[in-house]
Amino acid sequence: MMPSLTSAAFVLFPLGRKRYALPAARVSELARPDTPQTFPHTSKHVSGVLLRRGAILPVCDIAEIVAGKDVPPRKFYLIAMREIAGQRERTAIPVSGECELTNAELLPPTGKLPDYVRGLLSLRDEIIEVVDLEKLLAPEANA
Amino acid sequence: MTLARNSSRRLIVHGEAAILFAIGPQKFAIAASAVDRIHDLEGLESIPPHVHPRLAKVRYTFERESRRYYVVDANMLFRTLPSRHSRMMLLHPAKREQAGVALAVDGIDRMTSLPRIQSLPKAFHGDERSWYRGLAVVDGRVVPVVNPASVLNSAELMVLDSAVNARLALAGGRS
Repeated sequence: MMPSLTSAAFVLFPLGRKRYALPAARVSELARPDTPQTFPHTSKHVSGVLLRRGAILPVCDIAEIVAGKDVPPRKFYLIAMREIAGQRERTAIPVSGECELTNAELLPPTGKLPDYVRGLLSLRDEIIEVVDLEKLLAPEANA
Repeated sequence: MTLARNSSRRLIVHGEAAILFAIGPQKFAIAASAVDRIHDLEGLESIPPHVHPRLAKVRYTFERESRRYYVVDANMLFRTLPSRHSRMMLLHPAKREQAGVALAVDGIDRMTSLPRIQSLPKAFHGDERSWYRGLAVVDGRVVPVVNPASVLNSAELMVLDSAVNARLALAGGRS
């Protein structure tokens, strides 16, 4: 079942100087620093795989898409559920630092925001974009 | 030097017998049942690139026991940086009358039993979906398991065979 877009719980994660969010229902864990393993492939934004408790998880680096090329090296991995062709798959997303769980109201996106922004969170003096992983990482969107 | 694979085939219940091989720093696995022989690179004949420019991954031919083999450069197949090949794996032909396919690699590591082959995560959506049958973990490292049918598929083999035969016929007519 797809998690509700208006879910009150979100995981906030830093990418460079900004923070972004995913619905908490999509996130299973924050993984410690690790080195992804690589092998030849042609899929854009997939930087390798992580071996986590016997399972092989793809590492999808979203930093360049959402925050540009100058994002410093990412240390941790957010393990999030992604839906691809009707199937759910755990994906490791490199993030710049510690994550935070918060409750907030999902506001509709305003202005000219990219398609992958599902909505916004207004937290004190910070507006945070809630990311739609499916739209962000769709192969056709990154062709 | 030729290393022949033992013809007696054992049923392996708890894993699949595989050959680990290297291309540059990367290890790969291929089902042992897909490999007929491992051979050095002696006796290769170059195929000029103009013979079939769209199949540039096929760099050489090789004749053995009246069968022509097309030798695929693993670097070109997997689009990796050039590396120093020292061996080729002669794959079992799909059809008895068909030309053979060989894969030139840097080295053969060893035979092993793959306890489990996991399917390639769906996040991988490019050519690797045909290159690999899946992924296995060997000594804590993730190793792609090569799909032998993707090295040179039947359609590519037919196209290449007719281009090479036409070239040979032309060369024969000139002499």
